[in-house]
Amino acid sequence: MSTKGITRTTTVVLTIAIIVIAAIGIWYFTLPPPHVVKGTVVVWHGDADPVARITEHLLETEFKELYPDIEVKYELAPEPFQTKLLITIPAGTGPDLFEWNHDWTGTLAEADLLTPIDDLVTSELKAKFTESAFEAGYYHGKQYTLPFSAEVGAFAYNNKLLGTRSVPKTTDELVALMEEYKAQGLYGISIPLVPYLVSGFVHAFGGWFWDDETGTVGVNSTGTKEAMKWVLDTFKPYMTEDASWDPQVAIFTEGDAPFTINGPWMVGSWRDAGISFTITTIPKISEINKEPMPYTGVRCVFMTKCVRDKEAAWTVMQWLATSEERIYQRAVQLGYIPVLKEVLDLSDIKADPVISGFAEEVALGRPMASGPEMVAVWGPFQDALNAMWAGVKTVDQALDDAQAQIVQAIEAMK
Amino acid sequence: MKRESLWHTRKAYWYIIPSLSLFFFFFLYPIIYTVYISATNANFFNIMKGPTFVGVENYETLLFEKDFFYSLIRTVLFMLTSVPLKVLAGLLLAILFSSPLVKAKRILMPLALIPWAAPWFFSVLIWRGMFNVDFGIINKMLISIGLSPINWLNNAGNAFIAYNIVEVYLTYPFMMATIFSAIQSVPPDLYESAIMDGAGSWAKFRHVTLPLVKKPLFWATIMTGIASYLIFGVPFLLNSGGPAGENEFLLVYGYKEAFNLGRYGYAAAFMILVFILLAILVFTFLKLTKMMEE
Repeated sequence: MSTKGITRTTTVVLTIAIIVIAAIGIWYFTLPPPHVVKGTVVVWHGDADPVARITEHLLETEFKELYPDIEVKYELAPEPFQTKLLITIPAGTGPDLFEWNHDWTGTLAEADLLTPIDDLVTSELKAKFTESAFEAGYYHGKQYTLPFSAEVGAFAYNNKLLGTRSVPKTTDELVALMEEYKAQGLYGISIPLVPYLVSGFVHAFGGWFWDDETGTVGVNSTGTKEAMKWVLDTFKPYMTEDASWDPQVAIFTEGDAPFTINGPWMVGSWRDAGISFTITTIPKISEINKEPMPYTGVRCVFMTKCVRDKEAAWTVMQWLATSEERIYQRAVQLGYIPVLKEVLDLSDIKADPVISGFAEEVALGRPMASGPEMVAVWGPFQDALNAMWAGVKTVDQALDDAQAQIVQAIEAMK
Repeated sequence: MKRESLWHTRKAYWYIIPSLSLFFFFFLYPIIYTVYISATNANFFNIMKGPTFVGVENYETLLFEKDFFYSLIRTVLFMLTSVPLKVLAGLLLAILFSSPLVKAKRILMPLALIPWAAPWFFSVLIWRGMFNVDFGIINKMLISIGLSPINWLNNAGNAFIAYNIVEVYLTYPFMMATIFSAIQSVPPDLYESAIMDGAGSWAKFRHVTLPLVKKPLFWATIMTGIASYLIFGVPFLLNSGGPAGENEFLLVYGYKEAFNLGRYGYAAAFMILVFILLAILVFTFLKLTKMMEE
């Protein structure tokens, strides 16, 4: 082969190579740039510091690494939370997303304050959650929320104060122990007097608040009245005079009461205060031989009607519900029951005593009604609780008045 | 000349347009909107979709609502107790600080103004802790001197007293500062003449100080009376107007109707009626003041 032939071959090969490289270059540079989700997303939550801290930290680390172009403002919601949503969302100044229990779905959907997410949810995403938790955000044919944990008010005891005594399994045993602690100058029990935390007794006695299926208010039903009379007779002698939230929370956290009924949102504060505690089910009601059936809630992320950047908000919403680290940390640090299957199936989650304590209570509980009528129930029922506790009204009077007020408000809604 | 004057007038209108626009959007528009809402059945669920026009139905409901009248009576009662207490506290402190016998005024005066300077809600929350039946410092002090603890916030009468105490605490600096500055403006030679006429301390106060501070005192009383009529933060933060709504004053009642029960239309009608009553009250008070002056 002559030198001339080699040169020609080389020239041809080089020319072809240059053309191929140029073609690849043109193809590469004319490709659309990879899609980057950008924007600012405001998220309101209603959690105290130990709970919020986990998410705040992960937003700065895990989320920032995954989505550096999305800025998330994770803010404690102004109080009263629901009222602020009702005012700010129509005005366009509300959050893009917020976290709360599923029972607000009906109220806010009826008020047209939520954005349905049916067109965004894939079957793969849906399959990541336990079925009941996912369906908690379903209302009148539309999906409004993504769930991230389940919660319930359960029974907690101070290990140090209980010592070698047996854990009370019935309310008779509980009363005997409360009597003993009272004689020592302590309080017998701490129960913040709010509808959510007394719901277990109301349901056990056959009472109810609002029934989505029958569309009835049961605030002055025989069962509710019997339950509340029993609650006052059984617990009032062993509690502080002031049954509102702060003093009740304080006496257990400061070791002045051995027992409490409260939820996973308190676990962080108890741990911060150095309290050694155990979570278990609320003792069986001796008089009727029934287990209390407390309301259970599913913590969800909601997308509001005033969402400014839907794509960025949806990215954040998915992360809040599916970040395994967030769900795992909330479970092991605070006792929130995961509803994300991948975390729920972890062996250490299954073995965690706090999570299993709350999970046992969830199994006995009853999901909160999510109809919009519930919004009219909480306020008057709380007023009734305060009135009967203060002795301003009898249980019957207080609940009859509350029933009338709730029925009137529900009528006005129609 | 005439044309020039007209031009000046037109020019003046241009100048006030920015402030008029602000006035319309931030003051007049909310009032007009409230009037509109009060004539509808607006609630939680239809406020976004568009409520229905119901005319004066909300006003009719309101006039037959016994809870509205109870809250009005409670509010008037609160005005009758808190306003004299606030005026008295402010007056006494102003006289005290005006007296040459009181030393270290430069330190004491700023201290006395602390309730005015501190955020009011913060002060109310501290008072709530102090009134707590189990852990509050007030009951601890009562027990330490051998008295029984008082259930301050879970008893209607006690809670009413607690509201008065907190309201006086929050507003006495305003009364004190107003009356104090009025006393300072009284010419000293009037006191000297009174002394020469043989007037004692009471006579000086009765015949010199009081007539000269009467006007600012009346003005401050009207202002503090309006504050008592529109009281919300103190009862709401102390015990939500409890126990069992026994101390629900006008605005607490309106707030619960609007935001706990979602009756926006009804609550708007309520607010308009509250405003009309307030206007009548202030007008009557001003007339009385004028008559007294004459």
